[in-house]
Amino acid sequence: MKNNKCLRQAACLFICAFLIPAFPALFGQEDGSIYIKAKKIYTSDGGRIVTAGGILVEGGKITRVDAKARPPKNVKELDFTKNIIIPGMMDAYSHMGFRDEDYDVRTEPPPPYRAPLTGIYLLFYGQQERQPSSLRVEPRFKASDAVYSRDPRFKDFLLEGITTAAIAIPTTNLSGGVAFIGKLGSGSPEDFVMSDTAGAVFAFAGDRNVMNRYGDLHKMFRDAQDYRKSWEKYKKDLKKYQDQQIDKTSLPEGKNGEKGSETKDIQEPEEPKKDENHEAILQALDIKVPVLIRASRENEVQAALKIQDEFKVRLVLVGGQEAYKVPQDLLSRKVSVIAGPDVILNKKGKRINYIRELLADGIQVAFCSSSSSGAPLLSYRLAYAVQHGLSRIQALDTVTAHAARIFGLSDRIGSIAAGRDADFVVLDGEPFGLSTRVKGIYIGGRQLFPEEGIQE
Amino acid sequence: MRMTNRNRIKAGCFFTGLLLLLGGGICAFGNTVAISGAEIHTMDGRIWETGTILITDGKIVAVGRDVSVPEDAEIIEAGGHILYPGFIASSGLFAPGASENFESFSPDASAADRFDFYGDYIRFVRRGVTSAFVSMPADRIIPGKGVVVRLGSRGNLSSLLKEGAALNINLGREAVLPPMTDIFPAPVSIENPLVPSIKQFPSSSLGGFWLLAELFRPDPFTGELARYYQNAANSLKESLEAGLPLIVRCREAAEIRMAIRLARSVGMPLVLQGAEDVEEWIEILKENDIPVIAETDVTPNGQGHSRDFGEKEDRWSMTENIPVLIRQGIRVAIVPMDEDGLPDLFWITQYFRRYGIDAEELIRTITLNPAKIFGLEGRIGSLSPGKDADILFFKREAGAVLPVLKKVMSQGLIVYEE
Amino acid sequence: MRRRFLYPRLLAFFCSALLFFPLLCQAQAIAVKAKKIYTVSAGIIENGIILIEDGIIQDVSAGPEVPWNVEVIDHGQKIIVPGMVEAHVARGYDVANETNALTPFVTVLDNIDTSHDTFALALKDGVTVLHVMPGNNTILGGKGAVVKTVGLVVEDMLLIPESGMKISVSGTPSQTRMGVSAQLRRYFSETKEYIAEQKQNAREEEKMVSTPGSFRSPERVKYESVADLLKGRYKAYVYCQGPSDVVRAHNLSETFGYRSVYLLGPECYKAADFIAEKKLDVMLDPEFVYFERDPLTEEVNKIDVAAVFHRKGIEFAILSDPDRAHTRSLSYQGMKAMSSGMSLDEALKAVTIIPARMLGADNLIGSLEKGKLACFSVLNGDPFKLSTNVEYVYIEGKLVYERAKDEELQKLLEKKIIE
Repeated sequence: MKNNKCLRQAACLFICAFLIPAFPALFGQEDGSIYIKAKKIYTSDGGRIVTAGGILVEGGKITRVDAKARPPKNVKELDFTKNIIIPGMMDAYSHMGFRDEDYDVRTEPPPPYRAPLTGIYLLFYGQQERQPSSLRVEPRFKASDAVYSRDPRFKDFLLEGITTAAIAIPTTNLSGGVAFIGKLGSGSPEDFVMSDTAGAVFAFAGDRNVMNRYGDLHKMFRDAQDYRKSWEKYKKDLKKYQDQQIDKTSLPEGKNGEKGSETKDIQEPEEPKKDENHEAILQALDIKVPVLIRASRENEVQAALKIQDEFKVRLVLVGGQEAYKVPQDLLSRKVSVIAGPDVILNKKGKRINYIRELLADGIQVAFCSSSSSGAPLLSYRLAYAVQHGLSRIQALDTVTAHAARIFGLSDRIGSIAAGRDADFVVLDGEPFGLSTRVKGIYIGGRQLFPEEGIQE
Repeated sequence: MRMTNRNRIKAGCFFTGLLLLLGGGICAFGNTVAISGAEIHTMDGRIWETGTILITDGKIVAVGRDVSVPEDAEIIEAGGHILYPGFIASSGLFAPGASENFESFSPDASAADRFDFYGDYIRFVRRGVTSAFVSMPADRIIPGKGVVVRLGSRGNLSSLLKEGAALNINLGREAVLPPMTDIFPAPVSIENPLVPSIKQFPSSSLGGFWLLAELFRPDPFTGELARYYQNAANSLKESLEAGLPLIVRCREAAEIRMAIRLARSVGMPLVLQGAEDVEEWIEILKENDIPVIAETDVTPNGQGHSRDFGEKEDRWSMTENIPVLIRQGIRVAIVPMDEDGLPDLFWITQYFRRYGIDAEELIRTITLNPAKIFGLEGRIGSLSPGKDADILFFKREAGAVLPVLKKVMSQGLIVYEE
Repeated sequence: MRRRFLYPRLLAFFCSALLFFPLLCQAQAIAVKAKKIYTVSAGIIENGIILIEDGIIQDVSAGPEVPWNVEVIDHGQKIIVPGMVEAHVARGYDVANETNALTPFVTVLDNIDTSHDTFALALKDGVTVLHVMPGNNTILGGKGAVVKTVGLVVEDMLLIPESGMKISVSGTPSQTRMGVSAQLRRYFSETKEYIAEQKQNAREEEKMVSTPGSFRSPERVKYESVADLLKGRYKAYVYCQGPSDVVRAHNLSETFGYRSVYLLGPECYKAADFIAEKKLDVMLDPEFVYFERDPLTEEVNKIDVAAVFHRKGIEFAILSDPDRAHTRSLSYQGMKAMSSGMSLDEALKAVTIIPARMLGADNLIGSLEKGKLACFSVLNGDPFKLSTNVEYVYIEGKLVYERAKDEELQKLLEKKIIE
C-alpha cells in the first residue's frame, strides 16, 4: 500500500509537471501574447501613424493596433514608449544567401590580372575581351533550393531591420530562374520560405543588345505556349485513341468478323517530353507568378512592356531606372517597379530622384539592394532618397507595403495591422535618420534582438 | 648715425623699400572678399555660430566673430549657411589608362604624369571635393610617388598642391604578380638585353617583403642586382632623404607588421591604407601616431545593375574597422573604394553616425586628417588665417536628412553655385 | 722661219679654245616666268621672273636682267607658289614603329621606300619637301630625315639626313604616361652621364675609332643618338596627345636642355595659352575638329582647333593625313585652314616657311628668295582653291612633274585602261 501511495504521489507530481506550463494558459495568457506600447508606430497601413499607441500580438500575429495604448490584463507588456516602431522591412530583390563563389562561375582559367584591351593582346592571345561567364541558369531553377535558411549572414541583415527578402539567383543570363520570398530569423526551414515561387526572373539589363534578349524571351514564351498546345493535342488524341480502343472492344462483330468503325485506325499518340522549363514559364504565363524583368534603360523598359503586351503576364520591373520617362505606359499596364540599388540618376548634369518621380506618378515602387550583401544599406540609401525629395512615409512604403503588395503577400507582411505577422523593428529615432539605431527585432511576436533567442 | 654718403644711400634704399611695401600692401587689398553671417566650422577646434571670413587673393586672412572688413571688400552674405573647408579625397585615380606594366618598382615615377590637369572635374567639385591625392596604381610593389592636386572645373585648370606628396607602396597579392607576363615578349636586342628572370620577381608576398627590405637598406643591391635596380635604389634614396610619408596598401596582419617594421627601420612616417586586419595593431598605431586611410564600399547611391555581382573579390572594405579606429583616437581618412563614389564623399562619412560617432569628427576624416597625412595642413583642410580659401557653403533644409551644398569656393572664387 | 710661228699659233688656238670653255662649262641657268609669284617672304610679284642657277634662286623680281644665255620658261597666265613643306610625315615606309619603345638609334633613312606612293602623291600636290619621321607609338622612336619628294634612291632625296629625334610623351597601348615619363627621364639622365664620361675618355675614344676593327660599345649605340639631341645637334619632335602632355614635354625639354617641336593631338587646344606664352613650335594634328563631351551636361561640343590657335596668334605648321578623305593632302588642309579663319597668306606660310623654320631648313626652302633652293610649283589658279591644279613642279630648278604628262592621272580622267 505504501507503494500505491508513492505511486499516486508520483503520478500527481507527474501530472502537475505537465500542468505547470499550462498554468499561463489556464490563466488566460496564451503562448507568446504580448502588448507593445510605443512612442510612435509607423503602420504602413494607408500611411497611418499612431502616437502613444499599442499593438496586441497573439499567436505570432497582430490582433489589433490601438490608437491609444490599452493593454489587456495578463498579457506581457513591452515598454517601448521611448521608441519608434516600423514594420519589418523587405528587400524586394536580392541575392542574399548566395556566396561570392556562386557569382560568375568560371569554367576557364582566370584571365590575366587586368586584361589590357590592346591589339597586341588580342593578336597574340586571340582571346576576346574578358566577359564574366555566368551561371547557366534555366527558368526551372529555384533560388529556394540553393539558399540555406540558417546562413549566418542573415543575422547582420536582421539587425538592420530587414525581416523578409525576395531572393533570386545571381546571374547575367536572360533567365534568372524562380525567386522566392524568405523570412529571415524564422524558426524552421519551412517557415523561412514564405513562398517558393514568388516570381519568374529575367534580365534585359546589362546586355547592350536588348533586342537579342527580347527575341530570346519572346521565343521562350512562345515555345512554352507551343509546348502546352502539344500537350493539349496529345491529351485530345489520347482521348480519341482511348475511345477508339473502347469502341473496338465494345462494337458488335461485323458480318465478316471485322471490328472497327468507318474511320481509319488512330495510332497511339506519342507522349511529348515533359519539360520543366516550359512548365515554369507556363506558371508565369498563367499569371500564377509575376514576371520580374530586370530593365534599367529606356529601351530595356520598352522591351519589357512589349512582352507584357503580347503575353499579358503580370510584369514587375526590377531596376526601372529610366521608367520614370514613361509613367503612363506603366500605369495603363498596371506595372510595378522594384527600384534600386541606386537612387539618383545623373542625366545631363541634373540629378534625378527617379523613385520620387515614379511614386509621384502613382506607380507602386518597392526598393531593393540587388546584391548579396547590400541589404544592410537599404535604410541608408533610402535616407539619401529622403534627402533628395522623398518623404519618410514614401520611403518606408517602398520597403514595406509596396513590396508586400507586389508579391501578393499584403495579408501577411508589409504593415502593422490586424491579421499580419507580428514582424516589426524597434528604433531609437526616426526611420532613415543617420544616427538612428535598431533597438529590437521581432519576428512572429518573438524577440530576436537583443540577443536572446536569435537563430544561430 | 653720421650722414655719410653711404649712409644716405642706405637710408634712401630703406625708405624706398618701405614705400614699395606699403604700396604693395595697398594693392593687395584690391582683391578682398568677406563672407559674413555664417556658421563657421573651422575644423581646428572652433565653431563660430555667426562669423566672418576675410579672404585676400585667395587666402584666408581672418576668421571670427568680430573681423574688420575693409571698405572695398566684396561681401558675400552667408546668413543661414554653414561653412566647411573643401573636402579632400585621400585616394582615387582620376587618370585613364591601362594598368602599369612598368617594372616592379619605379620610385621615380610620379602621379603628376598621369593626371590630366586640363580635365573638367566638375562632378567632384560641385559636390564639395576640392582637392585630391592622386595615387599610383595598386599593382606594383613601389609604383611611384603620389601628388596632391586642387581640382579644376569649367575652364579653371587643376593645380599641383604638392609634388611628391607620398611614396606609394603596395603589399598584398596584387603587387606581387610579375609584370609583363601578358605582353608578347620583345625579341632580345641591344636595347632589350636578356636579363635574368630575377628581374621578374617577386611572385609571392615573401619575395615582396624581401625586396622591400633590400631596397630600404642603406646600401641596397650590392653585387649582381645592383646593375638592374640601381636606378630605383637611387631614386628611392632621394625620396627617403626628402622625408616622404610612406603610404602602404596592405591587408593582412603580416603585411601590416612588415609595414610598421619597415617604416621604423628607415625612420619614415607611415600611413596605412586599407589594412583590414588593423584591429590587432591599434595600440602600436596610437603609440607611433600612424594614420590610416580607410577605403569603404558604402555608397548611398547604390551601384548600377551592370555591377551587381561580386567583382571586387580582392578588395576588402574597411567599413567595420572605421568606427573602431575613430573611437580609439587613430587619425582616419575615409575614402570610397572607387572614383564613382567620390562625389558622395560627404554622405559616405556620415554613414558612420550610426556607430555613435559625431558628425564633426567624421567631417575631419575628409578635411583636416588628409591634410595632415599629406603634410598640407598649412594650406588646406581647415578654415583659419593663412589657409587657402577653399570653402563649402551648406544650408539646412526642411525634410533633408543632411545639410545641402549650395556653393563651392576654390581659392576665393565661387566655382560652383547651385 | 715656220717653227717660229708654230708655238704662238698653238697658243692662240688654245687660248681661243679656252674662250669657249665658259660656254661649255656654262652652269645650267633658267628663268621661269609667270603671271603671279607668291614669294612668301616678299609678298606677291606680278609678272615676275625667277632666275635660277645650279638649282639655286638668284633673283625673284618683276623685271630682272635676264642674261642672253639663260633659257626662259614662260608659264604665261599661271601662278607660282613655293614648294610646300610637310613638317612631319609618318609614312613612306612599311612600319611606323618598332615593337620596342626605346629605339633612338634607328633612322628612317634605312626604312624609306622611294616607290611608296607617299612621295608621288605629295609631289603631285605641290609638296616638294617632306620630313619623314617614325610613328607615334613609341617613347624614343628614332631619327628622321628631311627629303625631297623625288629620287630613285634615298641618297638622291636627302636634304637633311639626320633631322631630329622622335619622342612621344603620351602613353602607348602598353605604357601609361607615368611609365613613359619616368623612362625618358632615366634615359636622359643616363645619357648625361654618358656625355660626361665621353668627355673624360675623349682621347681614348679617338684611339678606338681610328683603330681598324674597333667596335662600337653597346653604350655608345644606346646613348649616342640621344647625346646628339642633348648636345643640340638636332631637335626633338615630340608627340603630345593631350594638353597635359604638352606641359610635361616642355618641362622635360627645359630640364634637359634640348630644343623641341611639338606634334599636337586635337585635344591640345586646351593648352593653347601655355603654348602661346612659351612660344612653342607646334604642328597641328590633321584633324582640325575636336568633339568633346561635357562631363556635366553630356552635350557634345565641336571645337575648331585651328581657329583656336589662329585666334591666339600662335604660328603652327599644318599636316595632312592621306588615309582620310577630309585630310587628304596638304593643299586641302590649307583650304580648310582658310575656312577656319586664316588668310591665304597665313595658310600659305603654315605650309611653307613656318615648317621650314621649325625643321631648321629655312635657309634652303620655304620661300622664293635669293639663295634658297628653287623648289616651286606652277598652278593654274590661286593656291588653296578646289579648282586649282598643280601643273608643273620644279625641284632645284629641274622640272620633275608635269600634269599633262601624268599617265596615272590620264588613266583616271579619261578612263583609258592601259594594259
